[in-house]
Amino acid sequence: MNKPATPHELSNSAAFDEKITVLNPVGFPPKVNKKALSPRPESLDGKTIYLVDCRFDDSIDLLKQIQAWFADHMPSVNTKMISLSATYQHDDKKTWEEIKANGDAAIVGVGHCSNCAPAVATHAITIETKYGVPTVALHTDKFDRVVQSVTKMAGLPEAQRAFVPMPVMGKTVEELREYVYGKDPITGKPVMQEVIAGLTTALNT
Amino acid sequence: MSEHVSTAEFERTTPRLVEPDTEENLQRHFHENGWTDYLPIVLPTEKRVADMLAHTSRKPDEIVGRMAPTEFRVAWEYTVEKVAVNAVMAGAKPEYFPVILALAASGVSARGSTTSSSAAMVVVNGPIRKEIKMNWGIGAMGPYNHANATIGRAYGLLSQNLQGGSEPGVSFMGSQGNGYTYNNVTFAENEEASPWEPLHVQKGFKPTDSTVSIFYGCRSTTFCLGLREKYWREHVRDMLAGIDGNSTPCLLLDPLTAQQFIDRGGFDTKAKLIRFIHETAEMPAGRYWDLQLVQNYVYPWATFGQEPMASWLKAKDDELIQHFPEKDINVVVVGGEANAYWRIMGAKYRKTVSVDEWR
Repeated sequence: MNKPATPHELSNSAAFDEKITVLNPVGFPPKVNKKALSPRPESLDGKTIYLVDCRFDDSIDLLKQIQAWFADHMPSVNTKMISLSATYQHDDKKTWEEIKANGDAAIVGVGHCSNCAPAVATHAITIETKYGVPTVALHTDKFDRVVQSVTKMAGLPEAQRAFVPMPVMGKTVEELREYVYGKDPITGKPVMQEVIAGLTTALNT
Repeated sequence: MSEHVSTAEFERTTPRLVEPDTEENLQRHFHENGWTDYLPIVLPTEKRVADMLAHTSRKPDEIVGRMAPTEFRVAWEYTVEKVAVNAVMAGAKPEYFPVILALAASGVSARGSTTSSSAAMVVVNGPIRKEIKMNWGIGAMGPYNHANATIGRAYGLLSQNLQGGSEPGVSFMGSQGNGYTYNNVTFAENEEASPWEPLHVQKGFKPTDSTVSIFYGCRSTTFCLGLREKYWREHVRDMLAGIDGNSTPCLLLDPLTAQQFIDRGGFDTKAKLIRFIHETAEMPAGRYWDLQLVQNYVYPWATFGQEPMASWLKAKDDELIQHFPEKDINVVVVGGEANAYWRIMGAKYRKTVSVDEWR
């Protein structure tokens, strides 16, 4: 009579090495259409930069500090604040056309939620690639991997962006000013250095 | 939606099969790739998937739909077979497949990425409930029925896998997560014990149609036992005050509670009860507009002139506004009459999809 297998024998039985074929549960990704950055000016002196407020969670307050930085440190740059015509969930041709007609560069912000970060990244890519305006997107640091994923799938992984600490919502004027004067938590570089490099040919150096 | 999202083309770059391996290694492989909910899955062998596919008349390579974790993220596309793979993984029986296909066809992800950590809620109506022996009685919203449990789980798995993932920090940003996400609160409406018309009939379907309805949010939940004679109106008002400003109330009533609403308030139709809920949920305008969620998601529409929000914006700070539009409020009857418990889920209705089209 055969003795029953011991737990040790069972555990090491070749019967459990049988290979099984199973199907892959993952869906089909969209085709990625590669895009390119638009040409950049050598400097921002005398240029007009649109600061595009995505209308979410005090974004405009951070952009006001960016505007104040330019006024203090690069007074030859003309900045124009504009809020999206609708919520960030909508493509905004009216705003993009105004930027193209009257602006030389754009800063879009702030991407600081799971919907608005993809939206800000996408709008920045639209302004850059469909309207030919050099653009930097501003996000908070928690969304860096979201932004990487969105820009990659949009065909422009090199889309220019800078990150500030999370949160922006509820922060005081002084705290937001410190964000702008401080460092990007992801790269360690000064935020405004990244913004300016992202909008000029300094990007290529 | 941006043009590049809505006009995407798709390439069939995802392989059909996984490299053959032992059961143990495959379970680990699925977990490590983020294809599971971290519970063991039923491995989707070709035989199991074929058995699942036998319960729909649709072809395996037919496109079912597209899904993305948020707007402004490009959607991924999927076929009937891909949905079947995920249905097998969840442990669903083949006879549940038309319900699961209907959920997949909705295009509404159960793994949406919102920092608020939303979850889906699924209500099944019509004859399919009895055909596949779903639960609409005692324990209907809990782990007490195979169909309820596995259909809900399948909806979650297919959402995460067919939309390109639900990876924390990348494609899922829910700051705290949501426990309802495990099975997406999937149940059948207790049509038989309900004194009113079922949900799907309210949404324009016939009683004999089988459907799935999807709600999304499921963050705020308030709860009560019955309706007391003296202060029942005030108690309902208190419950509604606990529903978040970016959701709408969906009442989940045990049949005993449904009857109490008729006894107390004469609400012999769902419409009358919904009207009462709309009129009862009031808040001073100043306090309403100071809610962060309202500032983020309602205020922009108000400034664009969308009603009724635009009118609320003109209200004085202490003026009471009825901030849940009547058309957005829903009532579902579920439960086994063990007691007159009921709850209000803060969840927005998204859509109702025919199950019969996927048989």
